[in-house]
Amino acid sequence: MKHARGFTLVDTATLLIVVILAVWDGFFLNDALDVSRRGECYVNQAALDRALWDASSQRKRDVADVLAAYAVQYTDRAPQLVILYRQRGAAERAVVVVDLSDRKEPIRALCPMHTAARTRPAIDYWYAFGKWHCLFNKWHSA
Amino acid sequence: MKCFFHPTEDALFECSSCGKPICGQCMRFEDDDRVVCPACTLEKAMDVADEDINELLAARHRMTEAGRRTSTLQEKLAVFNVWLVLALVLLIGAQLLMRNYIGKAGKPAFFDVAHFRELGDPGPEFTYILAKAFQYANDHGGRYPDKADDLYPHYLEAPPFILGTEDAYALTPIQGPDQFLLTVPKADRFRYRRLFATGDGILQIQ
Repeated sequence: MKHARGFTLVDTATLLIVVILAVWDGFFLNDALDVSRRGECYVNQAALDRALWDASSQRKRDVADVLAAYAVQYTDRAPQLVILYRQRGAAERAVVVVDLSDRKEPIRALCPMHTAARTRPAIDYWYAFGKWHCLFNKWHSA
Repeated sequence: MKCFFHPTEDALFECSSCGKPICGQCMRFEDDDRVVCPACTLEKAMDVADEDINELLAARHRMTEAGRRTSTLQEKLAVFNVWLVLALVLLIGAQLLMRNYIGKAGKPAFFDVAHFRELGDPGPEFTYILAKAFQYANDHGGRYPDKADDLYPHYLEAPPFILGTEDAYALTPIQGPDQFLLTVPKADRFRYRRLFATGDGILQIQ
């Protein structure tokens, strides 16, 4: 239906609300897209978790003793997994560094959505509080 | 007796309505066969016409009123631009759908001081700040932050105080493009002699 009296004040107010809603929807859409790509990120997190378990079992440490762990992606060398164990009983505090390129399964140390050019190392995957988190995207933490 | 309307003619009847004498020419019959004069016939016809006109006027009035009500409703609808209202409805609908979808994914990850304080060890918070220092450098053309405070509020949810104490983590750029030193001051209170990391991102404990 065509407006009979031109663009009125009410139309202007409605248009303003439409614009505000559109911008607001843009933020929601961004989050929705991030959420929709969690699956690809979880594949990396699961692979890192297996690497963490393997490294712990090789050193006869319990995964429950892991205070923190993270994967460092370098610009000039293979990614590494750094694990910090807490002191528990006779077991000392320790930092263990695992070269992720030695793993049989390929592991990406960065979130699939992290495609920006980098000049410094980057840490996207961080283990704490008993689970892995994606620091690149807030919605990718299980 | 002569006819009232034709004075030369003899009257044959009397009008049953007004009693005037009338001739054969002027004689009119009512529906009930009463004889009436032309004047009374005309008067009655005019009364009927008046009633018809009044009915027509009333009908016209009713139509005008109905038309006016329709017009008012259309005017009320026309206050809103339908395309804008449609856009409004679509945007609200889209937002509700996305809210529902995002809501099913749970809450986004968020790490504040309370999370770290419960652990009682600065290790996890330290590694978190280390990761954020790299993120800062990659966002700032490779330049590391001058101090850990620079990471707050864009990269950290809270100022970088060790487990909520008044001591901040110490981040110092070291001479050279690739190096910095991130340390935990007074690490001995957490039974570390030293806890630090440099630009290679490898944690060092002593």
